[in-house]
Amino acid sequence: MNKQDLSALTIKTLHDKIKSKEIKFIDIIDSVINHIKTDEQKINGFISIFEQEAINQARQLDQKVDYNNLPPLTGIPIAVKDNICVKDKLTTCGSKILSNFISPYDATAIARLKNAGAIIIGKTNLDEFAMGSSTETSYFGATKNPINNDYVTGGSSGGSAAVVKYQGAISALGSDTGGSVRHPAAFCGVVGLKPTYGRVSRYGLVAFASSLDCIGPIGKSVKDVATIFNIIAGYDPLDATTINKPVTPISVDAGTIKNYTLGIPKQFFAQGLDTRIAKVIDNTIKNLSKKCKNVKEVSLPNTKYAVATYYLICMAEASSNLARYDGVKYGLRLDTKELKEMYEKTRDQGLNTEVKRRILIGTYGLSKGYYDEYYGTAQKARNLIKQDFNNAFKECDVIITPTTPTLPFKIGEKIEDPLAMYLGDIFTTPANLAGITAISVPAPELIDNFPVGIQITGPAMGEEYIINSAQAIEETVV
Amino acid sequence: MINQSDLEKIARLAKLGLTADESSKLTKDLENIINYFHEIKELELRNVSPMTHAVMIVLPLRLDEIKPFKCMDNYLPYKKFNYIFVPAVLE
Repeated sequence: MNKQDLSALTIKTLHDKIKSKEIKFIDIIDSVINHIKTDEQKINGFISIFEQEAINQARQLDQKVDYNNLPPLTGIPIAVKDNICVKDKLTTCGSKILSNFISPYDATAIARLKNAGAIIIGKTNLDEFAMGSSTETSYFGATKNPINNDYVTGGSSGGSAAVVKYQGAISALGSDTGGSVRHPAAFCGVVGLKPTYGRVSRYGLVAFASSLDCIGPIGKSVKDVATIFNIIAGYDPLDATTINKPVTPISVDAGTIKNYTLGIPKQFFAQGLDTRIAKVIDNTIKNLSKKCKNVKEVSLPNTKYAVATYYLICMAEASSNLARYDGVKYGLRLDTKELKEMYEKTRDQGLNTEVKRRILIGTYGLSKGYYDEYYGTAQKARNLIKQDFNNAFKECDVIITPTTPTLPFKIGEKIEDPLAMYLGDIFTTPANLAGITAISVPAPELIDNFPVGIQITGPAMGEEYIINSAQAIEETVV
Repeated sequence: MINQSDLEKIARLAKLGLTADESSKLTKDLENIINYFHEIKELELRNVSPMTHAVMIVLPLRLDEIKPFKCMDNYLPYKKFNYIFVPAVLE
């Protein structure tokens, strides 16, 4: 095969080719860098690229690697969303306020990738502080969808999804607070996994909404996503909210879905869903029904309250988490005569309008006289949404829905209408509120050349079920 | 519901400076968004307890011991003589 095309292969195939000495490490890096050279300028998926370092690391591996002891990601170039710390590299969060911030340490997920041999190829673009669903609000400009450059990538991990799509990296890490891994995966036609809350350490992930944030992998294939998940998952003493249970590595097997009952929630197929997407999902379910044990309708009656509940909670948590960006210790600082003025001016100039909007609403919802009415009520509604899932999973193993209610939209189309943008998260936010796991995988059919994301949701710690179901969809040929 | 002076009060609490243009646009946005949030008031929540976290975890206690931590000097741009300098608070 042409060495230019190596970046189209899965992690496992590349690993096998390296092991059998059919290819060199530098061949993989060369292939990825070639794609970056061709596409990056028009896509704007990266904030930083570590080209020379990656070349040096690959050359070193070629010179002195022990072929009898090759960890699973040896020499595999991985891109990392720019809100996850990589030691001695910029971590900007797509914001002016952190545009000069260098990470003093590796996030636990990064340390685990490096231990498994990965080469970090660059840091990817995102909506500022991961607040957005289109990757348009970054201080470093919008990322464009590789499928059609006039359209958004979805967000907020749009840079990670885009560079995986154009093969500027073999896989990537994103973060998912309300859908930020699954949403851009759906819009860019790649696979994105949001693990169970607490399954992957948040140490070194810049906090947005701490009770919802989750690091998740993005890849070209379900197997790649599973490979990365197996490496980054597990207890971490540096994050007290990680689950202290052993991780059994998932070996992907679509055949196991013959034992699964698939749940279809009627509430997801109601008003607001593009009818063309509904039809694609219908076809997919028909195909799966031949392979699984049973398909049945389930009810998630409080889904329509998910967006309001999610935004009230995440904005409140964000207003508290982002209070640290005040110009005192690191990041941007504006010179002023007085301290209070320094805080206000630094935050005014350093943060964009969407981040300010969320800090303001979050502050309002937590302020005296409004706490019970907003934040307190949302916490109760969150409990109802979680109970809906508990009830549904008594009747089924996984839940199949669309990932997004619409196809990708044009750059600029929704940026002036924040509420319209928020409503695009209707199908992804419930899994974050409930703390459970969900994956987005491209449907076997396209609509007007655009991919359709199918979301499979599983119970807490149920990654194996959703990954196997996603594999069954990936293997479907229309 | 939310007027400009409410917005200015919230901005003060959040230590957020706003330009005049931004302030009038945000007042309108906040009004719309918070109105939308009111739909959760339809829910019957009298007997529902608040969910504060996704997983029930008892926060672990750690031993009170000193662990080595790398020198952070290179990462602190506003540090002088072992202190972080800020503008004066008092005259």
